[in-house]
Amino acid sequence: MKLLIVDDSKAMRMILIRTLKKTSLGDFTIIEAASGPEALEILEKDSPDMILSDWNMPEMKGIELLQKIREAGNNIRFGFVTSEGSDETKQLALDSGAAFVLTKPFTADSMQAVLEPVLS
Amino acid sequence: MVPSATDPQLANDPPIASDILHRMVKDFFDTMVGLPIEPISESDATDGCDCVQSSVRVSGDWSAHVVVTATRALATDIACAMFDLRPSNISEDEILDAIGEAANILGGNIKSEVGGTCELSIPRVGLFEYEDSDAFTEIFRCNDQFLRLIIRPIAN
Repeated sequence: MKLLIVDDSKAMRMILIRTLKKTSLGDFTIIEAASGPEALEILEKDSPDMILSDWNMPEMKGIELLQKIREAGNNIRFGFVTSEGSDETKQLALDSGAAFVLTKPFTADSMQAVLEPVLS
Repeated sequence: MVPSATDPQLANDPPIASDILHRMVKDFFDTMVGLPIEPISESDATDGCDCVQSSVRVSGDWSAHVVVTATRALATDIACAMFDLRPSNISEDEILDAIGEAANILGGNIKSEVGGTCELSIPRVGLFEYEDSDAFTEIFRCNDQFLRLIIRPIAN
Protein backbone atom coordinates (compact mmCIF):
# COMPACT_ATOMS: atom_id res chain seq x y z
CA MET A 1 0.00 0.00 0.00
CA LYS A 2 1.53 3.29 -1.13
CA LEU A 3 0.32 6.28 0.87
CA LEU A 4 0.86 9.95 0.05
CA ILE A 5 0.85 12.17 3.15
CA VAL A 6 0.29 15.89 2.48
CA ASP A 7 0.91 18.32 5.31
CA ASP A 8 2.90 21.54 5.51
CA SER A 9 4.02 20.59 9.02
CA LYS A 10 6.91 18.16 9.06
CA ALA A 11 6.11 17.42 12.71
CA MET A 12 2.60 16.32 11.77
CA ARG A 13 3.86 14.17 8.88
CA MET A 14 6.17 12.39 11.32
CA ILE A 15 3.35 11.89 13.84
CA LEU A 16 1.11 10.49 11.10
CA ILE A 17 3.79 8.03 10.02
CA ARG A 18 4.49 6.94 13.62
CA THR A 19 0.79 6.52 14.34
CA LEU A 20 0.27 4.48 11.17
CA LYS A 21 2.96 2.09 12.38
CA LYS A 22 1.04 1.62 15.63
CA THR A 23 -2.07 0.43 13.79
CA SER A 24 -2.52 -3.15 12.64
CA LEU A 25 -3.18 -2.05 9.06
CA GLY A 26 0.03 -3.53 7.70
CA ASP A 27 3.00 -1.94 6.04
CA PHE A 28 2.83 1.27 4.08
CA THR A 29 5.21 2.82 1.62
CA ILE A 30 5.07 6.49 2.53
CA ILE A 31 5.51 9.40 0.16
CA GLU A 32 5.53 12.89 1.70
CA ALA A 33 4.45 16.22 0.25
CA ALA A 34 4.64 19.55 2.07
CA SER A 35 1.99 21.28 -0.05
CA GLY A 36 -0.90 20.72 -2.43
CA PRO A 37 1.10 21.68 -5.53
CA GLU A 38 3.86 19.26 -4.51
CA ALA A 39 1.25 16.53 -4.08
CA LEU A 40 -0.10 17.20 -7.58
CA GLU A 41 3.43 16.95 -9.00
CA ILE A 42 3.92 13.63 -7.26
CA LEU A 43 0.62 12.35 -8.64
CA GLU A 44 1.81 13.07 -12.18
CA LYS A 45 4.75 10.69 -11.89
CA ASP A 46 3.73 8.26 -9.15
CA SER A 47 0.62 6.27 -8.37
CA PRO A 48 -0.10 6.17 -4.65
CA ASP A 49 -3.05 4.07 -3.53
CA MET A 50 -4.34 6.66 -1.12
CA ILE A 51 -3.85 10.26 0.04
CA LEU A 52 -3.98 11.53 3.61
CA SER A 53 -4.09 15.31 3.53
CA ASP A 54 -4.16 18.20 5.95
CA TRP A 55 -6.97 20.70 5.42
CA ASN A 56 -5.40 24.00 6.44
CA MET A 57 -2.29 24.57 4.31
CA PRO A 58 -0.73 27.61 2.63
CA GLU A 59 -0.65 27.81 -1.19
CA MET A 60 -3.49 25.32 -1.62
CA LYS A 61 -5.98 24.12 0.94
CA GLY A 62 -6.58 20.41 1.24
CA ILE A 63 -10.10 20.75 -0.11
CA GLU A 64 -8.76 22.51 -3.23
CA LEU A 65 -6.27 19.69 -3.68
CA LEU A 66 -9.06 17.12 -3.52
CA GLN A 67 -11.22 19.10 -5.95
CA LYS A 68 -8.34 19.41 -8.44
CA ILE A 69 -7.68 15.68 -8.23
CA ARG A 70 -11.33 14.84 -8.85
CA GLU A 71 -11.59 17.39 -11.68
CA ALA A 72 -8.69 15.58 -13.33
CA GLY A 73 -10.73 12.38 -13.21
CA ASN A 74 -8.58 10.72 -10.56
CA ASN A 75 -10.62 8.63 -8.12
CA ILE A 76 -7.79 7.87 -5.72
CA ARG A 77 -8.90 7.20 -2.14
CA PHE A 78 -8.57 10.45 -0.21
CA GLY A 79 -8.92 11.23 3.50
CA PHE A 80 -8.48 14.40 5.51
CA VAL A 81 -6.57 14.79 8.76
CA THR A 82 -7.61 18.09 10.25
CA SER A 83 -8.12 19.97 13.48
CA GLU A 84 -11.37 21.36 12.05
CA GLY A 85 -13.78 18.55 12.75
CA SER A 86 -17.00 20.53 12.44
CA ASP A 87 -20.03 19.00 10.74
CA GLU A 88 -19.75 21.66 8.04
CA THR A 89 -16.15 20.70 7.28
CA LYS A 90 -16.97 16.99 7.23
CA GLN A 91 -19.93 17.51 4.91
CA LEU A 92 -17.90 19.59 2.47
CA ALA A 93 -15.15 16.96 2.50
CA LEU A 94 -17.53 14.07 1.87
CA ASP A 95 -19.46 16.01 -0.81
CA SER A 96 -16.15 16.68 -2.58
CA GLY A 97 -15.25 13.01 -2.66
CA ALA A 98 -13.28 12.37 0.52
CA ALA A 99 -13.69 9.00 2.18
CA PHE A 100 -13.31 10.28 5.73
CA VAL A 101 -12.22 13.10 8.00
CA LEU A 102 -9.89 12.20 10.86
CA THR A 103 -9.85 14.89 13.51
CA LYS A 104 -6.62 16.02 15.19
CA PRO A 105 -5.59 15.13 17.79
CA PHE A 106 -5.93 11.45 16.89
CA THR A 107 -4.83 8.10 18.22
CA ALA A 108 -3.81 4.88 16.51
CA ASP A 109 -7.28 3.53 17.32
CA SER A 110 -9.13 6.49 15.81
CA MET A 111 -6.87 6.34 12.75
CA GLN A 112 -7.48 2.63 12.33
CA ALA A 113 -11.23 3.14 12.70
CA VAL A 114 -11.41 5.49 9.71
CA LEU A 115 -8.77 3.81 7.53
CA GLU A 116 -9.80 0.18 7.92
CA PRO A 117 -13.14 0.41 6.07
CA VAL A 118 -11.50 2.37 3.25
CA LEU A 119 -8.63 -0.08 2.84
CA SER A 120 -10.68 -3.26 3.07
CA MET B 1 -23.88 29.17 31.69
CA VAL B 2 -21.43 29.85 28.90
CA PRO B 3 -22.43 32.72 26.64
CA SER B 4 -22.91 32.11 22.97
CA ALA B 5 -19.60 32.80 21.32
CA THR B 6 -21.26 33.63 18.04
CA ASP B 7 -23.20 36.52 19.55
CA PRO B 8 -21.25 39.67 18.56
CA GLN B 9 -22.54 41.42 21.67
CA LEU B 10 -20.73 38.86 23.73
CA ALA B 11 -17.43 39.20 21.92
CA ASN B 12 -15.71 40.07 25.18
CA ASP B 13 -17.05 37.08 27.10
CA PRO B 14 -15.23 33.75 27.32
CA PRO B 15 -16.14 31.76 24.22
CA ILE B 16 -15.67 28.31 25.67
CA ALA B 17 -15.81 26.96 29.20
CA SER B 18 -12.47 26.41 30.90
CA ASP B 19 -13.01 22.68 31.40
CA ILE B 20 -13.47 22.24 27.65
CA LEU B 21 -10.25 24.16 26.93
CA HIS B 22 -8.46 22.04 29.57
CA ARG B 23 -9.69 18.87 27.87
CA MET B 24 -8.54 20.10 24.44
CA VAL B 25 -5.03 20.83 25.69
CA LYS B 26 -4.84 17.56 27.61
CA ASP B 27 -6.02 15.57 24.56
CA PHE B 28 -3.42 17.29 22.40
CA PHE B 29 -0.64 16.52 24.88
CA ASP B 30 -1.81 12.95 25.49
CA THR B 31 -1.99 11.99 21.84
CA MET B 32 0.43 14.21 19.92
CA VAL B 33 3.10 14.97 22.51
CA GLY B 34 2.91 12.16 25.05
CA LEU B 35 3.62 14.33 28.08
CA PRO B 36 1.42 14.91 31.14
CA ILE B 37 0.00 18.41 31.48
CA GLU B 38 -2.22 20.04 34.08
CA PRO B 39 -4.09 23.33 34.30
CA ILE B 40 -2.84 25.70 36.98
CA SER B 41 -3.74 29.11 38.29
CA GLU B 42 -1.97 32.34 37.36
CA SER B 43 -0.40 32.53 40.83
CA ASP B 44 1.33 29.17 40.25
CA ALA B 45 2.86 30.21 36.94
CA THR B 46 6.45 31.38 36.99
CA ASP B 47 7.13 31.57 33.28
CA GLY B 48 9.56 34.27 32.35
CA CYS B 49 10.30 36.13 29.17
CA ASP B 50 11.95 33.44 27.08
CA CYS B 51 8.91 32.08 25.28
CA VAL B 52 7.94 30.71 21.88
CA GLN B 53 4.62 31.81 20.50
CA SER B 54 2.27 30.78 17.73
CA SER B 55 -1.16 31.96 16.78
CA VAL B 56 -4.01 31.32 14.39
CA ARG B 57 -6.87 33.63 13.55
CA VAL B 58 -10.46 32.43 13.46
CA SER B 59 -12.59 34.68 11.25
CA GLY B 60 -16.31 34.55 10.60
CA ASP B 61 -19.41 34.40 12.76
CA TRP B 62 -16.99 34.51 15.67
CA SER B 63 -13.52 36.00 15.31
CA ALA B 64 -10.51 35.70 17.57
CA HIS B 65 -6.81 35.12 17.74
CA VAL B 66 -5.94 31.83 19.39
CA VAL B 67 -2.42 32.10 20.79
CA VAL B 68 -0.21 29.39 22.23
CA THR B 69 2.74 30.62 24.28
CA ALA B 70 5.18 28.12 25.74
CA THR B 71 8.37 28.58 27.66
CA ARG B 72 11.29 27.80 25.40
CA ALA B 73 12.12 24.66 27.40
CA LEU B 74 8.58 23.33 27.00
CA ALA B 75 8.45 24.26 23.32
CA THR B 76 11.67 22.28 22.90
CA ASP B 77 10.17 19.31 24.77
CA ILE B 78 7.07 19.46 22.54
CA ALA B 79 9.21 19.53 19.40
CA CYS B 80 11.43 16.69 20.66
CA ALA B 81 8.36 14.57 21.30
CA MET B 82 6.77 15.35 17.95
CA PHE B 83 9.97 14.78 15.96
CA ASP B 84 11.23 11.97 18.21
CA LEU B 85 14.58 13.72 18.59
CA ARG B 86 16.85 14.66 21.50
CA PRO B 87 17.00 18.32 22.56
CA SER B 88 20.55 18.59 21.26
CA ASN B 89 19.38 17.51 17.80
CA ILE B 90 16.30 19.69 17.48
CA SER B 91 16.48 22.78 15.25
CA GLU B 92 14.88 26.18 15.61
CA ASP B 93 12.67 25.49 12.58
CA GLU B 94 11.48 22.25 14.15
CA ILE B 95 10.57 24.02 17.40
CA LEU B 96 8.59 26.62 15.46
CA ASP B 97 6.93 23.93 13.33
CA ALA B 98 5.84 22.04 16.45
CA ILE B 99 4.49 25.06 18.30
CA GLY B 100 2.75 26.22 15.12
CA GLU B 101 1.02 22.87 14.84
CA ALA B 102 -0.06 23.20 18.48
CA ALA B 103 -1.82 26.47 17.63
CA ASN B 104 -3.28 24.94 14.46
CA ILE B 105 -4.76 21.98 16.32
CA LEU B 106 -6.03 23.92 19.33
CA GLY B 107 -7.34 26.75 17.14
CA GLY B 108 -9.13 24.27 14.90
CA ASN B 109 -10.63 22.47 17.89
CA ILE B 110 -11.82 25.79 19.33
CA LYS B 111 -13.29 26.82 15.97
CA SER B 112 -15.21 23.55 15.80
CA GLU B 113 -16.43 23.92 19.38
CA VAL B 114 -17.66 27.47 18.81
CA GLY B 115 -19.53 26.48 15.65
CA GLY B 116 -20.93 28.82 13.04
CA THR B 117 -19.21 29.63 9.78
CA CYS B 118 -15.57 30.51 10.38
CA GLU B 119 -12.24 30.31 8.59
CA LEU B 120 -8.99 29.29 10.24
CA SER B 121 -5.76 30.99 9.21
CA ILE B 122 -2.37 29.39 8.72
CA PRO B 123 -0.35 29.50 11.99
CA ARG B 124 2.05 32.38 12.60
CA VAL B 125 5.06 31.57 14.73
CA GLY B 126 7.73 33.63 16.37
CA LEU B 127 9.95 34.23 19.30
CA PHE B 128 8.59 37.01 21.44
CA GLU B 129 8.97 38.24 24.94
CA TYR B 130 5.92 37.28 26.92
CA GLU B 131 3.57 40.16 27.65
CA ASP B 132 0.61 40.12 29.98
CA SER B 133 -2.59 39.44 28.09
CA ASP B 134 -5.87 41.31 28.29
CA ALA B 135 -7.67 38.30 26.87
CA PHE B 136 -8.83 34.93 28.22
CA THR B 137 -5.91 32.87 29.34
CA GLU B 138 -5.65 29.30 30.53
CA ILE B 139 -2.31 28.29 32.02
CA PHE B 140 -0.84 24.79 32.08
CA ARG B 141 2.21 23.14 33.62
CA CYS B 142 4.17 20.34 31.99
CA ASN B 143 7.62 19.16 33.12
CA ASP B 144 7.75 22.19 35.47
CA GLN B 145 7.43 24.42 32.42
CA PHE B 146 4.46 26.50 31.32
CA LEU B 147 2.08 26.88 28.41
CA ARG B 148 -0.57 29.54 27.99
CA LEU B 149 -3.59 29.20 25.75
CA ILE B 150 -4.84 32.69 25.05
CA ILE B 151 -8.04 33.64 23.25
CA ARG B 152 -8.27 37.23 22.07
CA PRO B 153 -11.78 37.81 20.66
CA ILE B 154 -12.04 40.29 17.81
CA ALA B 155 -15.26 42.30 17.68
CA ASN B 156 -17.11 41.69 14.42
